[in-house]
Amino acid sequence: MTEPNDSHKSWLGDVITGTAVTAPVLMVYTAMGIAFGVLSIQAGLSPLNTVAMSFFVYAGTAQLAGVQLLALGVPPLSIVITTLVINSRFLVMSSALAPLVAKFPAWQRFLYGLEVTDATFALHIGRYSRLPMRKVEAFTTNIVGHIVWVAATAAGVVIGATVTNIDRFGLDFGMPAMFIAILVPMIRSRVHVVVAITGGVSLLLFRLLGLSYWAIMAATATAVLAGIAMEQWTRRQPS
Amino acid sequence: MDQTTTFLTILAMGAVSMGLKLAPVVLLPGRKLPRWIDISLRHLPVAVLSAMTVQLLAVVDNEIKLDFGNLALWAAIPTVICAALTRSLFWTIAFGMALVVALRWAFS
Repeated sequence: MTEPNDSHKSWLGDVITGTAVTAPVLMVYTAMGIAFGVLSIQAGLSPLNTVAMSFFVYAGTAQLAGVQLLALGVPPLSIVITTLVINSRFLVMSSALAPLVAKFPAWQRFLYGLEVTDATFALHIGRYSRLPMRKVEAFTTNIVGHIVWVAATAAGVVIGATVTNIDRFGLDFGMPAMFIAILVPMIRSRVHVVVAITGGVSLLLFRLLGLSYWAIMAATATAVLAGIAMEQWTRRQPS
Repeated sequence: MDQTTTFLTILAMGAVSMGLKLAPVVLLPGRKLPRWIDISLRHLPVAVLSAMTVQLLAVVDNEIKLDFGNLALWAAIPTVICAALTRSLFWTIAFGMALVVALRWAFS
């Protein structure tokens, strides 16, 4: 695929490109948003609260956990702490995105930060490590993504009243498929291979050791260390 | 729990969620970071993506599931090949989701 990359491209052109590159993410958001809406209604949340959660929390895993805990009548403080633990990975993602938006003014970094999700993180890291960061394009993907997430949740609220078994539509595989689609092309060297394998294997090990939501943070740290070690080691080898 | 308390809980969840997303992009740029953080940031994307992918595939209901009952895990292998060949976000997701639907249909 050829990438148009002239700096004279218009504002509208960036909006259109931004929407186009987000299309696969929107597909995933639609699938997951509907799934969330259905589950939330079936767990007993009101339609308004279900949509409000997609608007304010805007993080699939934390929302699914939140709905289940709310349904069980778990105290609000515990639910908020669970959200903190599950979403701690955003600290890592946002740190990795920080260099991309370093030249934005603070208020734009603030608006950009509000919209960080697993999907937009993966999309932006994948895209803007190959191409220069385009501000309008990036904000377009964020805004369109958020709107579709909320709209799909609303659709799920409507569907939730009628459909019960949603797994058979493959909606739950959208997110992992998207992560695979973004991760695989990012692996371009032996160091990347080592980092990716260490990340995956150590996630399983930390899980076996009893970590649940912290396992992602622990596995990420281990994989980063493995990457640094591998770099040091290859530098010492005469090539 | 009544819906008003639920709504307030959702607002608090939102505040926590936004804070975690915001803090690094707002606070990190413009700061002189220690060299080890700079080096770590370079490996961070692949590291966190691979950990999350394995979590999404191998962890079902908070338990590791590596058996044949976990169809999504096995569907991931052709999906990885599809991603390597097409390098397309759209085709990889479409292929993966279609494959999972087909496998569930065939094995249920």
